[in-house]
Amino acid sequence: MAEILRMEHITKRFGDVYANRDINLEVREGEVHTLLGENGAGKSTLMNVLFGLYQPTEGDIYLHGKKVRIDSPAQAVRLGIGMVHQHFMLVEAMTVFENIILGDRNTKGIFIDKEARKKEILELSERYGLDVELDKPITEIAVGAQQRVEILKALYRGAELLVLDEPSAALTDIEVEGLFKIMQKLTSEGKSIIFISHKMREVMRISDRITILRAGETVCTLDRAATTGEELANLMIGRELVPSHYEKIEKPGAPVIELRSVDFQKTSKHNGLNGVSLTVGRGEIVGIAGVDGNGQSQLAQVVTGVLTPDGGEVDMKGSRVAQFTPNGFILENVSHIPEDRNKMGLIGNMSVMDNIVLKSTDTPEFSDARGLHLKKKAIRSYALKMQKKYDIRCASIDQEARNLSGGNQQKVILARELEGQPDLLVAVHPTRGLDIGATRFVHDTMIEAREKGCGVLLISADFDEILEVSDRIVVMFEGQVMGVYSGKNPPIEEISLAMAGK
Amino acid sequence: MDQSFISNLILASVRMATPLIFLALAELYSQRAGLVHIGLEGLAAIGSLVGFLVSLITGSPLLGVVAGAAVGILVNMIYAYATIDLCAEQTVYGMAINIFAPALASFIYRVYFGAGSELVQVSLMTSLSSLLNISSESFLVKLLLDQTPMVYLAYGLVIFTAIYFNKTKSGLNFKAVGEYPKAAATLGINVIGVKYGASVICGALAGIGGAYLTTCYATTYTDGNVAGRGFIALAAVIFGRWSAGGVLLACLFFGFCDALQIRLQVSSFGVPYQFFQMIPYIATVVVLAVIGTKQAGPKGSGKPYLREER
Amino acid sequence: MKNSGKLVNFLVPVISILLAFIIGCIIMAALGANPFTALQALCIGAFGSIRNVGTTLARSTPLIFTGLCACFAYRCGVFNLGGEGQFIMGSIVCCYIATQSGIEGLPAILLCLIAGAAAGGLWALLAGVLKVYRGQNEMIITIMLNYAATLFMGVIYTNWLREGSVPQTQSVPDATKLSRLFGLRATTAFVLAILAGLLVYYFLFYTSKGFQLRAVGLNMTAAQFNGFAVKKYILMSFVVSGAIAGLGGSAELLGTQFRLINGFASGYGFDGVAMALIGQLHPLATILVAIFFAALRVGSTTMQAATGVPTSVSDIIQALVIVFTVAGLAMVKLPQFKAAMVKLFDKKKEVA
Repeated sequence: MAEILRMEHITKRFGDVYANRDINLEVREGEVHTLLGENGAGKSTLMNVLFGLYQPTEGDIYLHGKKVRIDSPAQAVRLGIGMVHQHFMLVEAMTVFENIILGDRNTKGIFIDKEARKKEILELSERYGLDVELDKPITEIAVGAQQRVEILKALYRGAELLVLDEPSAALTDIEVEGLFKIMQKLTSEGKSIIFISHKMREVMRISDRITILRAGETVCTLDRAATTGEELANLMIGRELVPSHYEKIEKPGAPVIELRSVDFQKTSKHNGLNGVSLTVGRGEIVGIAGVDGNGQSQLAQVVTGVLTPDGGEVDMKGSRVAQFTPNGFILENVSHIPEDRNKMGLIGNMSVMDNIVLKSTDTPEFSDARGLHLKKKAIRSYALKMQKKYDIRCASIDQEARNLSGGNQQKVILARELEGQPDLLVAVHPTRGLDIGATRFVHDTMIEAREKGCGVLLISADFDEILEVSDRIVVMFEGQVMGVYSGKNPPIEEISLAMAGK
Repeated sequence: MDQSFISNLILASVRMATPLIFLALAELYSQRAGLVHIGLEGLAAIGSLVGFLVSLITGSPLLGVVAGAAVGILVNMIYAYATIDLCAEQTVYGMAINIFAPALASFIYRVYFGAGSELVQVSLMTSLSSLLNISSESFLVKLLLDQTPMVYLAYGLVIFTAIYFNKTKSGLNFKAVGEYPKAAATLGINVIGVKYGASVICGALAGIGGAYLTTCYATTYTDGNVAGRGFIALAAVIFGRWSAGGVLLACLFFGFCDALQIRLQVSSFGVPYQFFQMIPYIATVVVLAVIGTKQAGPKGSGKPYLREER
Repeated sequence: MKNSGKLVNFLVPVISILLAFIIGCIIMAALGANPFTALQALCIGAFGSIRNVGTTLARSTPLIFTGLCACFAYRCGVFNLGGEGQFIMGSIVCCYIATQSGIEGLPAILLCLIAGAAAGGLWALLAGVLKVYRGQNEMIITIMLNYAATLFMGVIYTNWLREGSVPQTQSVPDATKLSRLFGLRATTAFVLAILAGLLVYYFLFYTSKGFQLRAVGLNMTAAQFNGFAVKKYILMSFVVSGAIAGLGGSAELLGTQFRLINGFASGYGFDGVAMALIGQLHPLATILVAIFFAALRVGSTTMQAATGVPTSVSDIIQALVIVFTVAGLAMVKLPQFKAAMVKLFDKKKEVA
């Protein structure tokens, strides 16, 4: 097979940080080439370099053996590179059709020739089995269909090389199967695919060859046939993968929070709750497993008082919750690690110190006369103590929180949320975007809280994380609870099926 | 209320709506490219002064309008550079323009005319009917022909804008920049270019809207003559749901309120005239309050667009 | 790092002021005046004598109030452009009580100030309610309410409280006027303005409520997730900022203007916004900026008399300062600029 793309000695530096360092990648025509690596291994940076969003600090790119300079996405598109981003680049206010023809340069004329364009698109969609409803607005079609629109968009622009960035992250198992069929169809028609993933099962299923990245550098390129999932995992992480090393609790204490048939925007498949019942006891970690967007965000916001449910009952430590306000839940000693730390957790423009004491400036410890005068010295010394205890790495505690790395931002939130010995901790995607060290720290901290008798509700789209720390596993699908499983020797097959709604 | 009251009211509504249409379209183009512009009041002020001066010097109101457009573009380039390249907060910078441009206008006026407060007047743009030498008292003729060319330009622009955003490729790309600039960039649309283009259009239209006030409406320039129209135009864009047709209807409504207050002032009824003058402003508040929280609008509006972002 | 950030925040307005003055000088030169003579006249006019200083401080007083009004609201993320309307509503109620109630002297002064603040606060609350419960854009609403207030004031001085043939209200009785400081133009209103500034400063930076209010202003969603009553804070910021402006309106009427008349308070609202933005929403810095611009205006009268440069050149300079400051503050936040600064500092270190 002929080579379509070669990236040689690519280095990309941001300030002093190397996101990519001397990376080599070679893709052949008609193959599915997987880029495997953990979060932060440099996959996205490399692809942004290929797509002209970043300029490499060093290194060259060759297409069909010819050296090219890609200085904009437009240039990448002209060279036949198509990219399906992990976060879809679709304009929600427009229809499927409008999204596909957006930015079109192939056709002449000022006006949109709807009929002719539609015919072209339908031909493409039939050829590759990408069925979409052209006149529907993006907001009205499912995630899987949105992905097909993205692929169609790339093909419509004449892409020969398709980059799929974590395409399975938001899909159910069935949808993933459909995606794989499309990928096979594409390669059989001579298109080449770069598949980005860290899910071993999928990588072994679909790849022809695999290039492994670790900490911004290439580890090696392997043939799928000549390797195993374990070998890949070890190469990706750089050490042996050990199964869960936390002890699982089987008998939790008294219930901290109890939900009975809780509804919220019942009819919404992706943003609602439908008759959810579950209990979190003292000293246990309940993990909510499921693909993103099946009501987990709403569940988290109900049990922290941000949203008021439409129906059902919620008991907090044995007494009925009448009013849902964040402050009411905070007073009940509920802590929250929200899903988006920059948007919901931190005041980015305030200092690390201010963020650590954010919730407690009214307490006598930090102010006199119910907040009429802040004890600035006490706040500073407390913040310094927390900085040490939670190993928050920052230039100073006066540094603005938004300038910290993701891991350190999360530690600021942990310091704030866990120091008061909460009765209930609601942690939503607590390790998203963190490196291994920070992830381990977060997990250890949650286990420690559990040992102290805190009930933990962990919501995560990372199935491995759920398996790692949960004492009980609850599966959610389209706003409903599909099943509850023990965290000790969990039936993985069964849980996977439940996550897909079966 | 007799028939002439109503027909005069309608004729006045059309006249009063015209500057609002220019300003609201300016806002529409700006917002469609993701730039919320609260500085139209200022742009219109400087456009109004320059329009006045140029038509005074050259004797041609038309040249005045052209000059108003030019100065609108010029001043808006400051806004464009600050918000697009420097990523300054759009509302804050719009406010800066609202302070800067009227100060400049007032200064130029003082320098040009000196300390003397002699009232200088210009002749207004002639209407189509007098150009064509038609004179008739018929309402329809008056409505359709007894208007300055600027009125036809305004309605022409509304039609053009509606077609542009709904039927053309370029219009579709333009909208994408305001909705999701990153996605637009990945499709090879020149985001920065579109934003600057929008700023040129916005500056020109706002300048024309201002110049209309001194070339077609009042015969002289006074400080504060824009009288909140820049902000009412902002409300008209929200009220008109970010579409050209909706904006036109909203402007006609606000124009009607303005015409109504002038008519009522004349008929007096013994109520202090200031209460009538409040009508357009109160109507704006009421309309916004009634529409309620359902604000749609381009999703990328108000947010800066950084190219190499991590 | 922290200090360099503060240094930059201080340098940007200073450089902006210098740039604005350079352009101002070029304009003066273009008008045929000697810029140095003009600037000299300007300084003498503003600070040349104790009397002139008094005039400058008197002139700065309303600007301090509207500046603090803007400053307080923006700290909570509320873009209140209605300082002028709230100022006017305060002065209207104040005028009514001072001239119609029959009460005079200190009781009248206290009543006027309190009622003026209440009127300003209520007028702002109207906009606040529309924002919080109807999701409305507070900028448009407050501007519209400014026009309504100005017109309403017109009703007062042309109709309801009109005195004689001139469209103006009766004058505040002498006993109810605020006393002058050392016989200068500046009155206790200035002291009141400074006190208000200190209070705002203390509240924002030394109380828990102020801390939470700033948190709401910086990130509303996070503030809500952390249990702060966001709506309450937004309404509060409307009311308090409006009350500051309303208090300013009363103080201005009792201290300087004594009667409502066409053009009363005209432009004070936007001036206040300018002061707050140049002062980067710091109450004490806002006061300094207000005094600086008042000096510019007072001095420009002397300048006009001496050199013929029109007074409105001071407005241009003020406008340029805000155009430069806001752009400058945005520029120093750009990643490219930060990278350039880091390089610059690194080189210096290497040399050292």
